[in-house]
Amino acid sequence: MRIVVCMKQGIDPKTVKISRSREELDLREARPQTQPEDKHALEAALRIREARGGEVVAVVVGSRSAEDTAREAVAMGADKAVWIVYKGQRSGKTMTALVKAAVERLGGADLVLAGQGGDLDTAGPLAGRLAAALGWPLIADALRFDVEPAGLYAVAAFEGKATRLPVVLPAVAEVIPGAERPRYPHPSRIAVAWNDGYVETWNAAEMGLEEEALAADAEMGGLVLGAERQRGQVIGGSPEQAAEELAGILRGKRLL
Amino acid sequence: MDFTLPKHLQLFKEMLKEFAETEVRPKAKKMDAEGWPDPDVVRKLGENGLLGIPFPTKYGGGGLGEMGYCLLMETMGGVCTSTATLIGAHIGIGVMALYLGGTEEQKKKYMPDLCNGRKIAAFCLTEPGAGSDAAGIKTRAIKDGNSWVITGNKIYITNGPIADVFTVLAVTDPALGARGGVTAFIVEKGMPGVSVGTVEHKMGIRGSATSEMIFDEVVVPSANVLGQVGAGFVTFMATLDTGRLGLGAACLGGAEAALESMCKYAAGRQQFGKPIAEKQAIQWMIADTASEVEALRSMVYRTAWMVDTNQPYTKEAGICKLFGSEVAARAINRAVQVHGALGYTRDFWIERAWRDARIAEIFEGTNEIQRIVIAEQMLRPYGVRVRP
Amino acid sequence: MDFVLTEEQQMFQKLFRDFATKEVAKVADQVDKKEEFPAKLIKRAAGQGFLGAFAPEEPYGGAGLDFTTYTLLVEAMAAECASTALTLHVHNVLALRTLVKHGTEEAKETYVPDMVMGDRIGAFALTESGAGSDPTKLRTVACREGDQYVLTGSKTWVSNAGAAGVYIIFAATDPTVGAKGISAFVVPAEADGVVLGGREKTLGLRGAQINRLYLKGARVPASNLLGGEGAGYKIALETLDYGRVGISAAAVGVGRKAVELATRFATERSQFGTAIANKQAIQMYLADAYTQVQAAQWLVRHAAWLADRGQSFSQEAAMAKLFAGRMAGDVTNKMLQVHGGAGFIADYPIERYYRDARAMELVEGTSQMQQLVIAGGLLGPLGVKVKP
Repeated sequence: MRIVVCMKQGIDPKTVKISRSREELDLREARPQTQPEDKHALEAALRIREARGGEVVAVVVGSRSAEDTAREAVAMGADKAVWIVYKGQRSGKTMTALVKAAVERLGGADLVLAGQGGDLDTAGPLAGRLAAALGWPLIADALRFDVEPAGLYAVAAFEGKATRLPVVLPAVAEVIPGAERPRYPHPSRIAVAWNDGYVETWNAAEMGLEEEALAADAEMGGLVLGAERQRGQVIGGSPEQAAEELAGILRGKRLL
Repeated sequence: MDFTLPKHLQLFKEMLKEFAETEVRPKAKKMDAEGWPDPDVVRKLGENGLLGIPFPTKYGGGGLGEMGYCLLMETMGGVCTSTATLIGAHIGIGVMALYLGGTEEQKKKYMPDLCNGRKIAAFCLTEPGAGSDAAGIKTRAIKDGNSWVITGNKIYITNGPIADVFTVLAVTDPALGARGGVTAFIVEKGMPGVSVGTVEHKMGIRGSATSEMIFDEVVVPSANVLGQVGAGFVTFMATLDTGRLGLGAACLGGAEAALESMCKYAAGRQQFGKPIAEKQAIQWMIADTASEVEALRSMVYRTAWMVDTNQPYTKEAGICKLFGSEVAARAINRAVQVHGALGYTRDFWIERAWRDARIAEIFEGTNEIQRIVIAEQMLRPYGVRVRP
Repeated sequence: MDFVLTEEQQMFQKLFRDFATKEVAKVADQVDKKEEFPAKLIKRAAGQGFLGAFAPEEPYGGAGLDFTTYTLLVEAMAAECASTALTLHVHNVLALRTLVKHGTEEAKETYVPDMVMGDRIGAFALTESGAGSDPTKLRTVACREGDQYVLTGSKTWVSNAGAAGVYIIFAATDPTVGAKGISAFVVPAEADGVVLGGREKTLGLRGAQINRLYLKGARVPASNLLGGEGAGYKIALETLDYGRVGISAAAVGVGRKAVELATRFATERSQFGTAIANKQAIQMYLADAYTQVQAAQWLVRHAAWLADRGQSFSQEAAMAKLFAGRMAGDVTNKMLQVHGGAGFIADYPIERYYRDARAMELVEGTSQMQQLVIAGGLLGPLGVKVKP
């Protein structure tokens, strides 16, 4: 059984500042990180593999620093990763075309997992479009998978309730954060993840994709900034001390 | 010259940070209060491969070398000194003695379980009459056919009460003294005659377990002689070198955490209508700490690099331990001062860190011993023999 | 990650140290006792290319050193004669580098070749009686008159002034806008209106020519303006970052040699029937001092490495300077103590090192200024305003 996990590199939102004067995101100190949502998808894939064997392949689309995400996937336990070097804008259409081509180039897959779109992700949710493109069934909002003698079952959040349903392979699933947190990368895998043989580097042309197939079908229209909040003050210490300090501050401002 | 951490170690550092914040920090206060390690923390350390970081993967280790080990100690030293101590006693000296002195067979037999945490190691050197003075050892091992019979008491053994495998130094030939007459043995918890003596109540690092270990006519097969008969002293001294470096790394983490906390608290704490961070008296403490931390970091990483590239590093390890323990003590002491009364209360981790820091100037060879190690290396070219 | 100098850097280090022990050591004592500028030595240093550290080989015939290599030069010189090191440092970093980096082609063609050959020693005039660490309070003014600038004012603490062939002088072109109105000029010593004032009598660094300087309507062509009007403050700050690392390297050289002197002395001096190097009290001193020198050295290496990579290193430069400046004072004090009474008499060089070291906490910004820079770097991102 081959499980493909779609992974992306995004930006750690804690490192993004908002420049209100220029009405734009200040990305000067932004740090790339593997989308946390995608790590949940990888965790689900690794658990299925542990229960019934097979192979987990991470497919990562992105420019130069995205290689780190491919390596991280290997360090977490993926058997290998494919890094598709793509510098253009990652719209939903682009991502779908690239991942579909990658699945074909890998010689097919039994299950394709994707996380939800991240906070700063311009591509939007991928699983639905991918399922349509592949012509496979879609499992939305999957919390986890159970491997049983009778086959594979998905537990998905359906109308607010966890619902169990059999998975008809091949299929695409969108994984949402469930009870199982993604595992830490394992040191012995970290030690080898940057070695040769774990990450294959592909590009669109090699996969026979023309520019037109990749052209973005959505673009950033603009940035809407929410209402600005006053700068707060964090009061540390034990609850008793914090209360005392808070009272002191309020008294100082003649609010008490 | 290149100070950049390689990519895989950058990922490891991130992993460590997340692990320490999620799995260790929430338990640190409890471990200190109860005076005992948390079994969940130990189990998770093992499951996630953190108890064999520096060792080759063929023995079940993490394969991340001394640099990886120092990153582990740095991270833990900033979150829970007790856990760093537990790891240091296990990896840095306990398993390290096996790795440096053991035969291939012994490594294959013991290391995988020790690296994944199913078993915990302790290093048994110190005795009432022997500590930094390893030559004063009284524990005896007497050959009896194809076995050895070990008798003696070891004190201040970190991990003693929770360990399964002990590396024990004993005299095998009193006539030969330290060089040739002392042998290291691998002793297992279940062997008859092995027992845990007095458990120490400590001022700091209370979340690590320290005890006396009693070996009463413990019969150990010859296969458990660590390496060669008579090679024990050399193995243990080499082991202490890496132990010292790891401790220096833990001190680095402690000092970094103190610095970060000082800055954050001073920026938020208002007095006389302004954050106290705007006062020069506070700024000076922060700046002094930052400079020392920066110097220590380069020295620790550089020494780890020396270990990983097979260069001699005895002097450098001594420097990291000596300078590191002093820097950490000063940094945490300043942090208590900046935090004011909050730094003195047991609700806040700084108070614990202050108690924890004191031991770093004492164990793994007191700072006085480190100075002797350093002076010995300095004076050797002049023909002066430095004796403790 | 690696912590070793490149082969080329090691080659340079050997060259610098050979020159220092063969040429500089010979005259160091006289330079200090007679308080004279070692003109012949400096000329010989120029012959080795040491006065063209930051001038490119083409077209100026300079050495084109990277900054790490440059710190090795200062360190090597300072180990034998801190005055000479300071002279070379002021010339290379404060004067030559500033001119090469910010000068017009015309100015560079006029002065750089002479500077590289040692025919014009460079000096740096920023400090005034009312402005030093705070350059916004400059009272020296420069007025544009046609194709010329006319400089009027007075400067104190002008290093290399007595020997200078060319000055970098900071003056206000627009006194109304503070820092933004400061400009830097390259001024030849022979220009009319450049008047050398009295020489400072200093505690240490007695060979350095530190004088007052008066500008009585000194005229320079407009092409002698560096980096445009108002660029002076930025130039000064950037120059100071490099300057601080250079002084830190000098402090490391002073500290290293002081430890060597004391170590040798301790092995030769006998008391109670044995060399004092056999006494633990002495060994502890030596070990502590050596540790401090190492720590300072790694701060310097890290800062210089960042500079060579084109990364920001203001913070690291300040940390190196703070730590290394104090280290030099502390280490020379301890090493003087090892000498006992001998350390107090001028027959032994250690007292010179002790006096010279005191300057390391003062020049290129006092320790207190470094603390401010460091605290600002840490607290700024937390929203704290760090003001002098």
